[in-house]
Amino acid sequence: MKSIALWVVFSGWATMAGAAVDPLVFNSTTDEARYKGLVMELRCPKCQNQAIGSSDAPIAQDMRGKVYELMQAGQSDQDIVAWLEARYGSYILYKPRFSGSTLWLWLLPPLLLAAGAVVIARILTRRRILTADERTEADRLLGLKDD
Amino acid sequence: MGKWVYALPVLLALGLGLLFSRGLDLDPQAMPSALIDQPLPDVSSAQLTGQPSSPRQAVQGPALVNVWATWCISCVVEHPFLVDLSSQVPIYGLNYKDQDDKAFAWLEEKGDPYVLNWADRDGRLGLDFGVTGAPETYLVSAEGRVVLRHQGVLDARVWQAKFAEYFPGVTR
Repeated sequence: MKSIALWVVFSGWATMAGAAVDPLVFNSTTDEARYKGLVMELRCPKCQNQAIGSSDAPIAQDMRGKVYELMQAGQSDQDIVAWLEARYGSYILYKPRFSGSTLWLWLLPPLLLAAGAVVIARILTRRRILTADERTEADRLLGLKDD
Repeated sequence: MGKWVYALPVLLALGLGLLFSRGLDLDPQAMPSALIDQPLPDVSSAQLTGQPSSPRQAVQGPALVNVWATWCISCVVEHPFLVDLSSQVPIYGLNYKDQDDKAFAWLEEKGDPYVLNWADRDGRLGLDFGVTGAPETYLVSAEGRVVLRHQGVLDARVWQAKFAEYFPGVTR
């Protein structure tokens, strides 16, 4: 019971902490969704492991303000991300670009998945069904059937 | 498949162990500046004195650009070193998210090591520099390119370790 109460308290707390609120006005709900998506995709440079959308650090607030400003100026998502990347580097991208140093980040998971599939496939193909002759032979050896 | 498959988990664990032990030595807070090897931002920005200027045009390297604020505790710590250094190295100030009157009072009271100061009241110029907080110090070469960025207090130890080699005539 106590643990459930604790869980309720902390899950509520976590949701509150997860959303930094700025009073912003959007032209449409699509724009609002775009903004919310963007700020969760950009990493706060001052606070590790937090997106600028979930951090109350002053720098995260400024960066959110800039995202909003560039959006209102009609810039595309790519333009906005590029603007911030030009100033803060690839460090702030939670969705790293597909390039030399990030190659293994992108390729390792599918490779591991493929390796797993190969292992499973091998196990399954080895567990093959006996032919009729083999079955008779096996039954004979096990003494299940009288000759 | 031979017996070597049994060595695979051990090899994997060793490999991961090596990777993780390397990770222990890395500073997760260290963030490389995107400005390295780039010229300073070319945006017209108001100075504390009122008139605007662009960091790219104004800064004559080799020089330092120091991000500071009166609300920043570490800036109090590094200020005497900057004042001392300013007799030999030009230092440009970026007064970051501060109030002008407080900035003037600070310079009056503690001494003014700066060639000039930009008054970045809302942090806009800071965004163009890729500033993450104060204090930060950028080293600008004679060619006007950023050589390095130091986050945190600039003191004699940091000067020796990072900056001294670019200023051969300067002794600290």
